[in-house]
Amino acid sequence: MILAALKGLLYLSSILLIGAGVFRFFIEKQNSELLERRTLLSLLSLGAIILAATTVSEIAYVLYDLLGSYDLTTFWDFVISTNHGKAASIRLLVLILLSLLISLAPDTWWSKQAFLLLGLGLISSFSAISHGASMAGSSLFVADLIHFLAAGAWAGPIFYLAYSQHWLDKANLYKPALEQISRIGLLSVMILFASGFFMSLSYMGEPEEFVYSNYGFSLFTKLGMILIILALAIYNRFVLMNRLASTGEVLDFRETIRWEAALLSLVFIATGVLTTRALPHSVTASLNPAENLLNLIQSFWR
Amino acid sequence: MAKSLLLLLALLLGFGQAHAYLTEADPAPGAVLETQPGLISLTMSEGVELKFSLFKIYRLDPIPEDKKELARAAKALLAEKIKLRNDEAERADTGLIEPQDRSTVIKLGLKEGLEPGLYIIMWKVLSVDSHSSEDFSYFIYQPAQP
Repeated sequence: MILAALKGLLYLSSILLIGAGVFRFFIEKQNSELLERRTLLSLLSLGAIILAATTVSEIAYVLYDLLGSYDLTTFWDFVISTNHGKAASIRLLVLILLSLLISLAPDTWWSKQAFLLLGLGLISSFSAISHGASMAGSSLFVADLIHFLAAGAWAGPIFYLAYSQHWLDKANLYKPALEQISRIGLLSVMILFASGFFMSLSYMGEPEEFVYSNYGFSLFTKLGMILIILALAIYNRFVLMNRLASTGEVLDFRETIRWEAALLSLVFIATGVLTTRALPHSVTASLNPAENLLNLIQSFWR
Repeated sequence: MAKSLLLLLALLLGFGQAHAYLTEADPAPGAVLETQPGLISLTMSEGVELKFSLFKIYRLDPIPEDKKELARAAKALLAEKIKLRNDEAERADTGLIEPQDRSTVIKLGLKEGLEPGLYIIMWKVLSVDSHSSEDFSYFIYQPAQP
């Protein structure tokens, strides 16, 4: 349970960091000040501190769980010799650079490119030690990377918009920001589903095994939360956006955005729980997505 | 059909984090051997960080009556012994052969002159995807009567 909480916080804090950059460089137009600089930096710092602390704590927990104890020498040995340790070191370095870029760099084309590169580096520190990368190599590594990036691009800015303070006095500035978030969100959800489906098919041997497993239960819980968030996003896009265009009313938007942010936090915690649970598997299960897709289609008719 | 549709939706979310598990062992799990094996070979589903993984072989005595009881006793032995330090004298293995940083194939040496009986091969491993898992295999050494 401790590891699941740590994993959940790792994902959530990474999304906060990615979200700060997406919000700063891609959502908020120059000087529109939907979010006061102080608030942006507070959330960014919170994400950075939690990410650094959980990265170190996760290694300490893994060592304690494996060996029953740990000391600084073992900790250092773990950092320099294991894939996990190396990925964590890169993550901490990228975290510092990313925080400096978002908080200090001017809003230029170069800053955007640097943010994309560092964001990719941050997410890679997770994908490089993902199950897919360790089992099936580059295709699943890339799928995992794209999946996580899409999640960050979609969910990250929502946290910042939820904290935005000017819903009442600068209501007119929200329309372009919300439209941009909606565009990014739509694209991200399509990418999330495509990459998620590809990864799932790669690991799934026998579809029926999932339904009654602990893993399946956690997955369906996460699915329920995602469906609620999608319903809110659709309501935002097709009802509230039209209302905003005709009446300038933004307060309902504020409420649904806050609900989305709260539910997304729970989704990342649920993802943390999922990553600590073993998939139901059998020795004969295939890693071939095409073969597993056939199995799935056959299971529809059983 | 409804179950399959639900599954299809869940698959869209993507999943994939798992843990290293045994895919092959020599001797095979449950093998009864008349001659003592020279070494034990375990193949895991993905690479494991050998420096931060534990492998041990212990003799379990008495031999449990059925497989359910054997699994219970082996798990209890694993919980008791896997993190124990300086237990080389009690163990039947001599440690890893050709240790590397990480590998999917693990080879363990065995002490010479093993007593006949049931041997539990236990492990707690850190896979390269940073998950830890523990499990066991076993073999029975039962030399042919002269």
